[in-house]
Amino acid sequence: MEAELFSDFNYSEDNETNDHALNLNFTIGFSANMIGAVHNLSLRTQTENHTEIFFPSAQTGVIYNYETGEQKLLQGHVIFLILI
Amino acid sequence: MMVIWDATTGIPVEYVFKLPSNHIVSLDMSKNCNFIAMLCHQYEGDVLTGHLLSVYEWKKDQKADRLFVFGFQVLPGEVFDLLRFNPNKQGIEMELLVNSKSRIFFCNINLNSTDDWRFYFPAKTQNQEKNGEEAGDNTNVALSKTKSNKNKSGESPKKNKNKEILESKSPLNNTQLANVNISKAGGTDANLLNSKIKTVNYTQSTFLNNSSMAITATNAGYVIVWDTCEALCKEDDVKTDRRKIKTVQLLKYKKDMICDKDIINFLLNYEEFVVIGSGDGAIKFYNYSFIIVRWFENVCWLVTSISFDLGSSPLEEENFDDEKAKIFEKDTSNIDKFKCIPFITSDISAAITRVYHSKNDTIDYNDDLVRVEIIYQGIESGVTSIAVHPTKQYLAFATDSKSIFKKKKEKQQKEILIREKKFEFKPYVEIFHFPNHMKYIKEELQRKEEELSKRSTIEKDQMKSYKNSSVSRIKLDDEKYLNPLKRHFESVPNVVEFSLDGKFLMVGTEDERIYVLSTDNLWLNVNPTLQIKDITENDLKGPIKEIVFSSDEKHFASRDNVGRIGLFKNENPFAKIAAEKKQWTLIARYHFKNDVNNPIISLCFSENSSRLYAINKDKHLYEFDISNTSIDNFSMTLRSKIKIEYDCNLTSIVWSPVKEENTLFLSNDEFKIRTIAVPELSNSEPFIKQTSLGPCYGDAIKKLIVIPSKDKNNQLLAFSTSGKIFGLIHLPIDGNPHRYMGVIGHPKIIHDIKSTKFTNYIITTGGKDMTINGWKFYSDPLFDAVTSSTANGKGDLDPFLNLLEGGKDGLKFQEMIDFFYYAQIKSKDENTTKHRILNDTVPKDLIHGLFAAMEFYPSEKDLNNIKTNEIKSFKSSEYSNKSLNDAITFDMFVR
Repeated sequence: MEAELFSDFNYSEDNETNDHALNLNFTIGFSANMIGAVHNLSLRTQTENHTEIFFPSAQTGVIYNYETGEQKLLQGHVIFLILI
Repeated sequence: MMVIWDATTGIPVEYVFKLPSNHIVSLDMSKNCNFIAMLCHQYEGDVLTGHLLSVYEWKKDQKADRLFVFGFQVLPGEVFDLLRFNPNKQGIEMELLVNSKSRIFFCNINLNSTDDWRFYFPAKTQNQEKNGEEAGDNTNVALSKTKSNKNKSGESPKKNKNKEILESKSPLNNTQLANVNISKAGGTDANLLNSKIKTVNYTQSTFLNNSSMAITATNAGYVIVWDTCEALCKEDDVKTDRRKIKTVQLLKYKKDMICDKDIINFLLNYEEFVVIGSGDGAIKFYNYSFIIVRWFENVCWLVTSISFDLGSSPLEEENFDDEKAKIFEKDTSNIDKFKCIPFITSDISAAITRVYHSKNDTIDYNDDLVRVEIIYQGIESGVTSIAVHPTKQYLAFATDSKSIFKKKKEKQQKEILIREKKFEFKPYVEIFHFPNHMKYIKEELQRKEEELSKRSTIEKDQMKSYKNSSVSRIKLDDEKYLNPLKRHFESVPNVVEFSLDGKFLMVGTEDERIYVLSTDNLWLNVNPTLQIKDITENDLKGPIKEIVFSSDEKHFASRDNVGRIGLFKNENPFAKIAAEKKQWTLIARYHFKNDVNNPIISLCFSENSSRLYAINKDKHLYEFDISNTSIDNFSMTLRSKIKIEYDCNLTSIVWSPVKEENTLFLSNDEFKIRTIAVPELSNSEPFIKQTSLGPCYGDAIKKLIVIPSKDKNNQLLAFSTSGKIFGLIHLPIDGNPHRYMGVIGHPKIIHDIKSTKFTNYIITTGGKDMTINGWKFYSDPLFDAVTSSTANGKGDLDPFLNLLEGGKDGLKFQEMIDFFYYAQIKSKDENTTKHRILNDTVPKDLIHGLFAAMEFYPSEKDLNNIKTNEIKSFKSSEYSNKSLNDAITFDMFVR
């Protein structure tokens, strides 16, 4: 189970390369004290099924899929995100 | 900067750079997404001097176009921080509300005619007037409007028309701020509703759908209703202005007391319901008559957000025709048919909770099938330290305490009102898998539910309360705490660190203790806790600030902030039973007693774990021999003490990861990195081998860490600055700026940085921003940058020449060449008429003159060090030519 969960984080076998030396890969926590920070992007219709939410994590916006645990990180800001 | 993102793809649609101010406090988008309103603050220094409200028109595939911006000033201390569109007016005629903690005002805007613009505070009530306040006069706030067009091309004809009208009728050409006398404009309504409560603050305001009403929530459990009412208008009042109609007490937990459970922290208008998020963690739905129709209790703590699913409303889903729908919405006797789509909430404990129906797409009155699930768990309060497990994907972090409301006594009319200290978060340490920590938390919850089925009724209640109510998180003792990988502390844990075998987690706290916890369950492994201080030093308080492990896995050292070092070993010489022999024990301590203001900045072990190095605020490097510690008096031998800096301060120390070198890297606050050679011979002292320019990204290096790597050609260090930047250093350090790279890691500071041993991750935390970021790093781009920087032009010197003013074709470089030649000539007798035979070197005695000619004036100690140590080290490493020990080449001079 553990091997399956972290199979893509094995450094010795990780041969992928990237143009940037440092890439934000995940973020934990969010600006919980901010009022109105969390936004719901869930949509369940006959044709679409989105299970995502949005929250600001310091200077990064995060679109988080609560079913799969995937994060889309919206980068570009250099100071705290304030509201959406 | 404002960025408009595509919520489904996560791709930025548009960037808007030139904003009226950089201090944006509130944004709102109209329901049809055509307009974006923005409320900004203006500061002079740290003083708030005014507010700016601007509206942008935005359509997909078109550039956002600022329609207007106007400024307004208020009384000192008054801060407007919320802005909302009226969903019923979002075309040419639009309406906005802005509210502060004690006031609200409305803005009516007509894009076709500025004559119809109207800004007003609601009029005061009769009660307010009776209480001696000045009568509300629906003051038409004389705000200045400034038209500001940013896009001159690609504008629609309609937009142009609007602008022309605005421009022609706009009274002012530049942004001017109108002074608004707030004391005469509108009443302090909130203060008067309950005379026994001294201060009541507005929290949020909203317009209501298909209604002229607007409501404002307060932190005292009631809402204020603003509406138009001709009957209450005086002769000179504007009849379309809203005024306060009534107040409705929705929450009242205790009589005559502002209880934190009464706070309506979040207010939302969903369909035909007013939805509030209260301080007791309940989500309540009211109709427009303020009759409660549905509530969800114990969803979370103090609610900070409520957000409904996107998509069609339940009424549309069931294909109600309009008439039936209206009857359904307005007939309160039909409340049994309440339905709403699923929603999410967040609270101050950083939990995001989803409320949904387990079988249907909509939530109804059936509580049994309503599910409340935590879908994301953030970090409750600021992070003080992070640690990464050496062999597994575990991340440990420690947090600060957080208290939202402190105990406050308010005396009025002989009654003492006490605000409860309710929302308090104890500091804690938590271990979890990364990066899929939510998957791990879900597995933990499932495991607990399985346990729950096996336990007694009392324990079941405890576990339920843990899941559903955060109060139990505080009240449970450490031993009773149900989540084995989260442990609360009475004192703030300043530092966490895993032992190198991964079996223990060391936690150094503010109350001078070091907890040795088992990684499996976070229970104490050594009891009582470890301490550095001597029992005779009770009056000297020193919170633990750093814990470092030696590479032999047998020792760790810790320091506090009053100059004490403790050395611990996982062998207990005092153990009486076999089980205690492998316990961590204090074996030696050292105290820089002579100078209390000489705190230790950082610690580091040597590669073979025989020595411990410390850098102090007194600019010295201290070397301890830990192989000869005496258990009798806990003493540690100070082997040498070397003054490294004379002007600037040392900031960090790290042992070089290059194994054949016995070197330390020290950074200072003047952007230099010094390489310290540590001879293995017992009678020799460390010396400065090299001084190089380090990363120059605004702030000096605060921390250096080693990134473990098996590839000898790609050895990396990571650094964090005292600002928002962190980055990588490609070894060897030689001053080449292409060896460094930095990125913005967090918005304010990088509080802590850690590398992982077997993955290519760097973990950073911003401390008070309550976030931890995981960065994947790749050494190839840095390696390519270094090789390409030296591949062209003048070879290895190229990157250094670029640092000079004008580069390699600049005057500075030509001067260097001239001075170097001159120094060569001078070394061979300047006035001679004989032929001079010059090689490519200059005697080292002339180096101070060369430096001075280039306007660099190092201290005498630095010069001596350059002459005696750095030149030798440079040659032995680069040239392997011992005959040149007393001279420098031009390459060396440039570097």
